[in-house]
Amino acid sequence: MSTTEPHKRILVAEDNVAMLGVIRYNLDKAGFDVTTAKTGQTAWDLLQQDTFDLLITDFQMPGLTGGEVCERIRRDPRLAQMPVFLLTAKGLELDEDYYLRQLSVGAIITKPFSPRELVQTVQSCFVEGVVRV
Amino acid sequence: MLRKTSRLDIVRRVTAYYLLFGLAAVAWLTCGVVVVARSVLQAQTEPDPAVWKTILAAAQHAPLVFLGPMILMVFGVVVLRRTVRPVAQIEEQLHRLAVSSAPPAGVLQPVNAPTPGGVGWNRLIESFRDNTQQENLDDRLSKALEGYRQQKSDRILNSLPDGVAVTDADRRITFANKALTGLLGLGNSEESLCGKTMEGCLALENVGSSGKALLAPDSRGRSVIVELGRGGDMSLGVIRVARAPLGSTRDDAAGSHVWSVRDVTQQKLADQMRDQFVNAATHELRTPLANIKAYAETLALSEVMEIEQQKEFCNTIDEEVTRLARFVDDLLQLSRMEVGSTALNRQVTDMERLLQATVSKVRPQMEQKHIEFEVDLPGKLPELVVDKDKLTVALVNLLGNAAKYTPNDGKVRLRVEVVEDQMQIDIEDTGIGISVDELPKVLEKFFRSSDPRVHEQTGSGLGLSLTHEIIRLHGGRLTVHSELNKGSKFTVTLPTSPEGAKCSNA
Repeated sequence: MSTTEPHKRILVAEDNVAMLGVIRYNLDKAGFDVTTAKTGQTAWDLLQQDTFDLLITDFQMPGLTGGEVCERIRRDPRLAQMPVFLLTAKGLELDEDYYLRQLSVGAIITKPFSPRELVQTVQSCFVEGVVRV
Repeated sequence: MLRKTSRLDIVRRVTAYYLLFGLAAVAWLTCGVVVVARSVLQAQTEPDPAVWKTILAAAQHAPLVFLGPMILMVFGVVVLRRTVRPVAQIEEQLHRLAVSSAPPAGVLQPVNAPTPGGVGWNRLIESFRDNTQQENLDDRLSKALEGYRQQKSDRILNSLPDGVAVTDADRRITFANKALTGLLGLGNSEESLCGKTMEGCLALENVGSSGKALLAPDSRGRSVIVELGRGGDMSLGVIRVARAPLGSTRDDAAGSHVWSVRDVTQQKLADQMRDQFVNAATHELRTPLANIKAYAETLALSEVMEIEQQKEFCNTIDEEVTRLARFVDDLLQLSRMEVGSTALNRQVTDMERLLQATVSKVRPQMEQKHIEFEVDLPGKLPELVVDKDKLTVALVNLLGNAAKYTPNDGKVRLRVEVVEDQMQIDIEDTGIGISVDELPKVLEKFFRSSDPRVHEQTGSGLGLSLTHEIIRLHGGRLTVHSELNKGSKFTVTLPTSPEGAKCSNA
């Protein structure tokens, strides 16, 4: 599980500090360059200032939600093609079809999830170059 | 006295009269002729055969001979007529009855004849008329009863909480009960609905797709049930409208419909609240579970990990488990209290001791953040009949929140006052405060502020709901005043008299 794609930059937006920590640990170990944001707004600001290869965002966040960040990204010409993964603790009430098809979200990962599988999904996203999973 | 008059009987009687008078007349005439003949013969045998005298003698008897039979005949005719006339009248009436469609009562008349047949006929007519009158009476009575029944069913329909309306084939309302006007928000005038269309009353053109099922003509006689916003607007309430055909297509009620309208706003709200609750609970359960799983798996799969890191991960798992356990406890307790299955275990409690114990529980938390904790208790506090443990939980929650959401070096003040028959406990802090928008929601279950500073702290969004419920069960009140970035003030008011507490506990 060493360095597959050493220089891919991933932005992780998650309001739960413990969850953010464990995602960061696993992605770091897999060799990615991880930046974290505790709110949707922080994530959006970082996306404006910097360039990332992937955004992993929690769906439910105070203020700007992960879903809203997705919508903004798809409207922004510079970010429109950026792969996005959604993390969610929601169940059936999330309109998966809308996010997967209309907003081209690469993957919707339902909590609780396995960090190893998350890392594998991220790796396959970069290897295959596909956005959709 | 009245004999059964058969046709044979009449014929026999007519023949009898006819023979009686006829034979009498013939006998009389024969007698007359014999008398005349004798007088003629006498006149011939006598020497004075004056023809004229003979003729005169015969003529002398002539009126008697011819007039007598004639009078008898006339009398016979009169008697015959009297016998036959009522029979003819009756026959004529029966004939008219046979050819006309008018009711028998109008056609049949009594006959003016004292014969047994006439008397019998008249009695028949009389009883017939009596019967007709009886029928009329029955008719009137049943109409009156029908009216009463109608009135009664109208009254029953008007007492229903659901709206009921009947429309005719032209879709016009022919009946609408009282509840309907209220449900449709059309004021109190009951009459105004008759003649209008249900489509218009429901403002169906405004409601969009859900109303289409009702706008479409009902050709197959099927029932339709839809849910609509009141007056075309969902936010004003939700009504469930059912339309059912009243009669079959062959019926005279064809095209008529019965409409029933029910207010389902409360039900919708309850459904919505349940969904919100399930969603929030799911989220609150999944979040710590997700963390536990992620950390446990990371620990298990990492071959090389520093011991410090391992400890940190284990601690995180432990924290998340604690959080999950507390959430489940809170949820269970809150739910029990709301259902009312948890009664308060009230005891006479020294409030000063209770408050001191509470203060000592939260003091370490305050000291950790260097918060200035001011406790202002009056010299003498009354004893209250309260549930010691639950009230402590409530006050620890409030003071814990104050400590949680007050930055380092802030200030928290606990102040207790007894005003008349109420004890007032103020918990004031210089914390992050609550925005005006969120202030009304803070006591709701699962509500957590969208303020990022709140999300830095762990919390289930149940603490204040639980606190509120505990205070409510004690017959007290919890009020919140707050200003964003300035601080919050939670005030608990408890009744000091056992009566007040008991009343509100009921």
